[in-house]
Amino acid sequence: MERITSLVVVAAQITAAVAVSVSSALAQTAQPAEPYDLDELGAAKYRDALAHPVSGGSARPTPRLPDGKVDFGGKGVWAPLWVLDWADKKWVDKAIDVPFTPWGRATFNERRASLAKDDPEGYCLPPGVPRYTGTPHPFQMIQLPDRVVILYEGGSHTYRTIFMDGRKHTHEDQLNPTWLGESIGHWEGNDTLVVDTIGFNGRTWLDNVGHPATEKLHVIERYRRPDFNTLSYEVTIEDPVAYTRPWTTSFRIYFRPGWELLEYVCLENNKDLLHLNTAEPK
Amino acid sequence: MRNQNIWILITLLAAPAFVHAQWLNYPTPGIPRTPDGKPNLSAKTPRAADGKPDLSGLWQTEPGPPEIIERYIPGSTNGSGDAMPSQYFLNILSDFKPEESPLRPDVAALLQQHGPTYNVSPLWHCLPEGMPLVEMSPAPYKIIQKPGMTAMLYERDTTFRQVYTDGRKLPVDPQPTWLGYSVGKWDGDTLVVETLGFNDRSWLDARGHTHSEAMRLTERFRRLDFGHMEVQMTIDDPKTFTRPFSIKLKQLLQPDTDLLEDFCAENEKDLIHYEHK
Repeated sequence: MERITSLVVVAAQITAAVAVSVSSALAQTAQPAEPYDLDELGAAKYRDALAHPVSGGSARPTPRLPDGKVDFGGKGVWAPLWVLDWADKKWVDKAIDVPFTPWGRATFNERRASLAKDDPEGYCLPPGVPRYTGTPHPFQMIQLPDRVVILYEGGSHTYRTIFMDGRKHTHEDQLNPTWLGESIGHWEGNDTLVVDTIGFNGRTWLDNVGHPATEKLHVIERYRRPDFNTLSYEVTIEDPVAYTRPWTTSFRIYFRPGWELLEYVCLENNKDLLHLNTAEPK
Repeated sequence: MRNQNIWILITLLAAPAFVHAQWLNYPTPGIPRTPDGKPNLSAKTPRAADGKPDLSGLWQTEPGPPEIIERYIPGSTNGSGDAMPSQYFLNILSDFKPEESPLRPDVAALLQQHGPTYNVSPLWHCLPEGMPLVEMSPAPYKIIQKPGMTAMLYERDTTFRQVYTDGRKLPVDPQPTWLGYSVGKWDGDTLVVETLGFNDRSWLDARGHTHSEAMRLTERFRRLDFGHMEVQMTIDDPKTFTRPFSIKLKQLLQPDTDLLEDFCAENEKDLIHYEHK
């Protein structure tokens, strides 16, 4: 019950905070600087709690599978922060000067100016890859011999498959464009799970502030578990339509022992669609 | 009645189309094969490390007999191929003659309202199919059996549920959800999954049979051999039915294919046209 309270209530507060602060910030300027102030509505408590490991947990060593590879599982969940801006030091390890193309910059600015009203997540569409990892719903990773399955509680209650059986990416002509793309993983040593994803449908946003992505998006993620309670997540974004060169960002996600995934159905209470006067995001 | 048939047909059309090229012919590793390389679906039931049957694999409920499907949707089985659903997907009370139906009379009256009222179906709003409908859908689902937890990944709307097999008891008064709260334990070679904690919003079938929050579902999964599974589902909901009743599904392993991505909300054009209350 404690977790239901902390997640559901505070996530609602964050939603309210984002809506309020986006409108106030953007009334003055279309620049992305500091559009969110979560502290006002008390959501900072939630953020602070999830921004640190549970006390005493870091001392436990990285769990490993019989073959020596890192075990990303355990009785508990990975509970990410809501990484609202994947380039802002407030949420990620270091500030990124995002190398926009002119199209990328224009698209980003338009999203800022329109108060992110076309954010696919607002329509209960999938956050996609890599945005799931910065969406504030816990996830679990299940490692099988031929694949890694990630169960996401949120955005909404879905799963992702990462093939680990050595197959190659489907040829570009045969790729079926999807929200989550086609993910193929491999190990670098025993410590780093590298996941390479292509085949996107170009409809996702990288984050809440609206960093764009197109069908040309290529995502390379690196998952590490330096100690029991820490998931070190690094992602490289490559998309020649939106960015002049690849850029890399990273953040940490902490393990919450004993937590379990709950059911989250975004469409269950989506009242916005009718008020947005469209059933379709741009 | 005519309206109901249209409703069911439209529900089926809303199902994902199985025409994608990706992974449909990728050989599934670990499947026993005959000398000519074809999957040997009558090979023996695989076992997990603890000696119990391993239910892991990609499964799909067998389509119903054409003569029964034809009864619900006339003309539908002509050339529709393997996308036809189970008869229980269309009508969970398919086994019963009308006079023997376990449906309570007051609930039967409600069903009469649902028949012609398309937009009250949760599916129209891209809400979850819920249990047990999602598991009888004409779409595959993948079972992942791990120590302490078995996960079911449903292709329909790319959603999942978790069945805890770590010995815990069912919660007393859980938060009501579409898929409920499931715990499982072995009865010999049969995995018995008990689920409660449902909300009362999902439909049991495409016809519009509803249920209450008091529903309890018991599933008995028995993997007969490598390629075949029998799932007995018992529904006990005294607020909806006069007595518990069971259906038996045959499920077939789907070799050399995989789950595809399906998000109902992706192409949702209807919502805005509905008259909302």
